[in-house]
Amino acid sequence: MTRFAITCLLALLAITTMAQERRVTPVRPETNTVKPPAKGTDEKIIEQYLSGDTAKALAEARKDSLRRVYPRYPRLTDLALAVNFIDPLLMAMGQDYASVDVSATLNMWNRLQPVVEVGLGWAKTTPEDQNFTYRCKPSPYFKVGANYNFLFKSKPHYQALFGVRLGYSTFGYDITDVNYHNSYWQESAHFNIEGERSHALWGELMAGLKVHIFNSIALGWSIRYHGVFNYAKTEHSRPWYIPGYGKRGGAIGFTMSVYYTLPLNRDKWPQAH
Amino acid sequence: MKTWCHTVWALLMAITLATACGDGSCYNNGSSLPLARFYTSGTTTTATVTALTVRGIGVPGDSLLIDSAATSEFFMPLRATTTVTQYELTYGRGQEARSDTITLRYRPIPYFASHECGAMYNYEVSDLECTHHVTDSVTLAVSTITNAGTVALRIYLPASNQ
Repeated sequence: MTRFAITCLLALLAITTMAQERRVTPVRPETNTVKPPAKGTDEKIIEQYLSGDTAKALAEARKDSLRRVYPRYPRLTDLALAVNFIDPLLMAMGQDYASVDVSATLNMWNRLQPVVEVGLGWAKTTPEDQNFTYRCKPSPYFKVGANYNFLFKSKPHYQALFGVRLGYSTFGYDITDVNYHNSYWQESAHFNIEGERSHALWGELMAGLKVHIFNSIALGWSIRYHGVFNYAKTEHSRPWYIPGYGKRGGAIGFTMSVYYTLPLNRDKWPQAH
Repeated sequence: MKTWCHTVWALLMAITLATACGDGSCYNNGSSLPLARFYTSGTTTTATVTALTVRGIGVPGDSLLIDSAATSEFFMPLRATTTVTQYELTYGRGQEARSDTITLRYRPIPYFASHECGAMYNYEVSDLECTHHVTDSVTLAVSTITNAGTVALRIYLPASNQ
């Protein structure tokens, strides 16, 4: 009985020892070798590799690869000056009002673009089916905002933009040659409402494209969805036209601009571009 | 990026609300006309007069605004070249007809409403008087009459005269 017990104990010990035995996977020789850099790798990285500092060379190669997929432009990429000229064209085709502005756009990292716009707007209309002439003297307006360039991985020459603007204008207007007729009392009156002053604050959401034409010249188009946050009305009127905005009740605007672009930090632009 | 998205979203909402208040068409009247509506005395119930004749006092040719018609409301054009307008309201027909006179004193204000509605006169009413042969009372619902087309005068009549 004692022999049987000792045999069982030894057998149990042997099984436990077998179970705890570590299995070592043999390492194949080729996994310990460092692969050479891919074709097209920067010369500096290849030199590092050849000098034996393979770890640093691989880290640099990874950075280089990322730079090629995700080019980083300098903080100040370029400065674009533009003139928006669509309204004078539309006015020549019969529109009753126009705004002309100049803008400065600072392109940062080819991605974020603070914008300042300054312009003049004016209007004159005498509707055929109405009894007045509305005239807005040339008045200034200002807009500040920013664009986001969705094509930030591409050259700055081609941009697909989404942006916001906050606009403000202070302006004067007259309503003249008003002919009023009351058919029941059979009386007529003629009056003018002159020297009216107002101001307006509005916001815009814009989507646009900018395309390089030649040298430093580019053309841009944008469609703008806008709304008036606040405007001043007087005892005698509410403004019909807001410089830089258009008709007060309108929600959509367009711009067409010609750009002159000044590259900044050109030496820091990604080499591929 | 999250802040940027929130800013754009907030601006989109603000602009949508702002453009919702736009006035692309003239949904109001082309002139500022006070709307007079009849009510049963002591209530807010609209009353209908079965035979009403309305005439402006001093109107050329004694022309009638309403000629013996059943109505619960009517527009009263005001004179723009003076500061007083009077209307004679006659209730009923023939021998039983009885009349009241409504007098409005006001200040005409030249007003440009919009490109679509045009220019007109608004009226800032300073005084309202009425005789009481039939009419119980007349009250002013708004102090400035515009082209909004809302009720400007409430004329209260006894239930027996409807």
